[in-house]
Amino acid sequence: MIRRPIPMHPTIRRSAACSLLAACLAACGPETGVPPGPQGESAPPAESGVEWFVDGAAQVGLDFVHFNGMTGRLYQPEMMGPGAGLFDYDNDGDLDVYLVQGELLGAGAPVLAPRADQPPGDRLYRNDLEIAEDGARSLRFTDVTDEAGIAAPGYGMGVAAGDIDSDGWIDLYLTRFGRNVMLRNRGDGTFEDVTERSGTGDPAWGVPASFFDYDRDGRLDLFVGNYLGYTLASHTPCYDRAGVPDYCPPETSRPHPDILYRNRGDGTFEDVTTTAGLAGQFGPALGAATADFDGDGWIDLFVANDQRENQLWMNQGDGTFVDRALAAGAALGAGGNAKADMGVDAGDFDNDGDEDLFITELSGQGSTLYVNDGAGLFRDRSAALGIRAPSLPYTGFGTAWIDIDNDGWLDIVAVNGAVVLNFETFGPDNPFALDQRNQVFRNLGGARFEAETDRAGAVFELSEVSRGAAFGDVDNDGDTDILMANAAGPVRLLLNQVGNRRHWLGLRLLDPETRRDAVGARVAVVRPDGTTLWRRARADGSFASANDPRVLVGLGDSAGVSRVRVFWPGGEVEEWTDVPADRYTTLTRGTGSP
Amino acid sequence: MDGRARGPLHDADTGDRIAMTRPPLRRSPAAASPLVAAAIAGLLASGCAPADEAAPPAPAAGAVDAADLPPLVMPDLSGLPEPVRTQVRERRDALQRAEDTGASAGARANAYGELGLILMATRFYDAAETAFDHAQALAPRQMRWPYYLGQLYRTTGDQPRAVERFERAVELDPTYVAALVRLGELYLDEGRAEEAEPLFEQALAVDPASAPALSGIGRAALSRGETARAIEHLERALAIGPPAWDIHYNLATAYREAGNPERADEHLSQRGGDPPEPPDPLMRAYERLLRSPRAYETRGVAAMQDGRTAEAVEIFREGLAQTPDDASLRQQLGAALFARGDADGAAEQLEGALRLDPTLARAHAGLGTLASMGGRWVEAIERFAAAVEHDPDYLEARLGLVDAYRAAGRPEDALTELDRAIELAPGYADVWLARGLQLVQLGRYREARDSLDEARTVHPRHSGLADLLVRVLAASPDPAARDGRRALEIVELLLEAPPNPTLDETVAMALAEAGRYAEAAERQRRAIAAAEQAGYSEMARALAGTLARYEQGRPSRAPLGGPQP
Repeated sequence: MIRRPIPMHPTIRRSAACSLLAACLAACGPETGVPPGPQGESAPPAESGVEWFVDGAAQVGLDFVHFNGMTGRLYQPEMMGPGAGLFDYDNDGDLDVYLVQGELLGAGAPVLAPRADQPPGDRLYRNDLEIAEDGARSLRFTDVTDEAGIAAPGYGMGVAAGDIDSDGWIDLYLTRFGRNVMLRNRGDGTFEDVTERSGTGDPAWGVPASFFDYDRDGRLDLFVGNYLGYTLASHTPCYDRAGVPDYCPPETSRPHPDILYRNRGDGTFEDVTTTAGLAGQFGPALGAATADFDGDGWIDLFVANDQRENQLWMNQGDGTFVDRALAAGAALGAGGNAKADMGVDAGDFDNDGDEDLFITELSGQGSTLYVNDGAGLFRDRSAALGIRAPSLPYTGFGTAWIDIDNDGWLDIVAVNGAVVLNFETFGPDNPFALDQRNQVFRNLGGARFEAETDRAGAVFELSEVSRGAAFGDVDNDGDTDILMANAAGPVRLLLNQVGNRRHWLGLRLLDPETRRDAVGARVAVVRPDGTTLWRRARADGSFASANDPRVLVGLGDSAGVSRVRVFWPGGEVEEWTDVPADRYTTLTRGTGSP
Repeated sequence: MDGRARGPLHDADTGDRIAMTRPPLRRSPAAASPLVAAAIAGLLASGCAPADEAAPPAPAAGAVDAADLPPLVMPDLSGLPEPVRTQVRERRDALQRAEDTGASAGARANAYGELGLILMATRFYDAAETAFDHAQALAPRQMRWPYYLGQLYRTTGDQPRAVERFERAVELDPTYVAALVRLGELYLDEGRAEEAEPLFEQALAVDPASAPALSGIGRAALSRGETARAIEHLERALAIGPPAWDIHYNLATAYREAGNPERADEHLSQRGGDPPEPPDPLMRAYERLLRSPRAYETRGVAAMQDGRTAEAVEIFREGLAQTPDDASLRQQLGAALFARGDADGAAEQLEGALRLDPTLARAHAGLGTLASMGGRWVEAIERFAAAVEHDPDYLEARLGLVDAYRAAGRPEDALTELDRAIELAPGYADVWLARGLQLVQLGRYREARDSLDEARTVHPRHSGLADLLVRVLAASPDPAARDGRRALEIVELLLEAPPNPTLDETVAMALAEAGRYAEAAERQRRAIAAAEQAGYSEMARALAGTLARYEQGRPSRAPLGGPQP
């Protein structure tokens, strides 16, 4: 086994004895007035004995419990959601939380009753993070759903976040089992439903959605991935070989076409699916990730499909896309088989300057890591890199490339939950027997991954039906936290306890013209030793969830940064040489050196 | 209830579920078991002696004595349908008898193993695991118990244990190709290509015509970056086995890495074909184990999909002998009989299925198809309408209804159904094609042209849409719908397809509309010859009628062929 040689940390910032999160939050902050950063050398989390993540949801006011609305008929939607979102809706500098809710499916009584004291529908929680002068953090969330005017009818699946009107306020797109919803942020703490006016109320079963500027006109366009042409009326029961009822596989329904909306800039969107070339190929979409996969400066789109070929829509730069997934090696698994692809994220795990893909999949298939050769050609290297075998027992959904320990190498988190019932645990006490443990894969220098779930903390010992996962620095302390959405279960907020033991660089990439985060921008962080770390601003990926659009770069044990180069989505390149480590810095387009 | 207090076998059949205690995890060694390597080396040296003649293998490292194993606790079977529950109970009782009568270790091993199989088939994996553990502890030289246990762990994704059990199976019988191939694949899953390759080589030594073994060597070479060797073995696998897609895909990967994208594209265009599988009588027996209607249905449908229709009929009949009141199984039998050409038998079974379940849309649709074939269009409409009433999203039934309406002289109703079908499946080219055809038949040529144009923006490479659009542009009686220049442009795209009479007829229409009558006539003659050669005499006669027009210097005005207006 390869181990990175990392010296031991002389002072433990957050003691292992700090087992209660509230106590941790009160007592374990940094001693200076700046966001916490490393003090001297750090211990690798695996050896330090500190839990990597601690669930703090209940303690910080996130008391949401998902209601999947199951009545015993085993409708497919009841086990496909929910997603979750992290975004700063009130522009106060911290990430707020959006949680997607279900509702009763069909007639009858729910098998798992909704929580009695919880209002129905999606919930928005405002982050009331306070940072004391000594750096101590007090994290608290307040349910502001009603005062924000969030009213999203229907059965929720996912959420995407992006500023559609470039007014500097994050808007929301909600995918549903039914008509999707667009909510415009008025900038005064409230949202208005602009679904009808924007023309984005697609009535199909949407799951993933991505905001990205595919035509470089400065406005965020919208991709919506649709799953199946399934309705409750057309539901037919499915059985296993023994004749026991179970959830239907995706093959029992037709996939429904995806949609690409072009932002006209006047509050309306145009369905350009056909003219952009996306209408002919589609599958049951569950994941979507946008990135420039071939390095031509135009943002491409990867769509992960359930048990069908994926699409790799390469942006032609003229408003059209061509699907290159099969020829590029990203349509199928290494054996040429279509896999049940769920969540996806793009990231440069081997620090070679291109975007690689990680996809969560069905148990028995194993998750897939497609390694990019830089020209947009991929090779499934899951087995050789140590991903495939440990992921075989699990069905993964939400996922992301995050640098858990800020050592400069992107690790993987996959949240899991089965899609076929476990009859050995199924029964009146457990009618939704799909629970599984979640997983962490630690990146060993870009050459190999190791499943380190057992060391990731007590929260990773839980077995739940996890689906969505949103990733971001919720407490602004310089490491990536995880908002995890469980089907028919409580939300979890996994606060990272180890990342900020090392140095880090926090960047917000801002476009002054559009007044919004430049999602899709790439960042090259050049180190004094000449090595470069490549990251990108993104809010999409994972499963039906919205991520922190800021860029958090782990620097390891050295804070040295020679320069930061930003490749803006519009094609410009700028450079900064004085970006400080261990704090967040806003890089505004037009203020760097060409 | 504490089942452990009552001996080796405990029953929670009707009571509370009892948690199983998992035996200690025996991790896979970091490298291939030396015993596996020794067994393979010895076998290669001795010329592949069958397992029975081989020297008895040493006990597996970490082998567990039966007395040390936890007792088998039967799971709650109440959720299982009859007769599967009966099957499990029969095997449980057989084991109990073997224990009670002090049967030999071998007999008890068999009883445990047989029970393990049925528990695995019913997805009681923990209980099945314990049963197999007992079986292999009682009969440590029987290869099949570690093999089944390996399959169980493979199903649950427990890779380390699957590797360990398959290694043991290979030690016990290095001639069982399926075990060698599975273990090789597991090594590949772990990135251990160097260790996988000797297993595939051994499989090839046992069966020199094993496409899975050759494919495995190719995949191992590919993962090691040895593209030339990968190509060599994968090409050999393709040559001796059926045209399997996974081999084409791996060849495409190899050629792409070898810098030959053209060959890669060639292989990527060879879609279809299941992966080659080694003969595996053990798993075949397992797959035939369950006597539930759904198990018979699964097997029968698989046989149908493989074109083994006679076997499918047998399987469905066998299932119905067990559960004659299963409507779905009876409908499947009807479908299989239909595929065998037994229309009367099919109708009888489909009617029988509907007596059992009047809402079974597939049975209604099947009868609709039979009525259509018999030209009984009113009945066909009734049947298909019933099918879509019970399953509004049943696209194939809706298209059957379209055909029936059209044949019954109700084109407007057909068009309405097509619009509904497009709402259901907007991304499916064939539905758009059917809509275009219907509009042509209604004489709404401009609408047909516009609809086909719209469809072609989504499906630009769909030859059927292009073909029909050319015909509309070249031969519509409505001059406002015609555009000879565009027809010729589009027809160029069709010429890449292999020649056939329909395509020749289409090309001839476009040429004639452009005033190139001699060429049109030549094409038409070719179409006539091809139709006659294929035995389509009626089509040949219709084509000949249009040929006369071309010879007279007149274009066609019948886009769908047939008599000119």
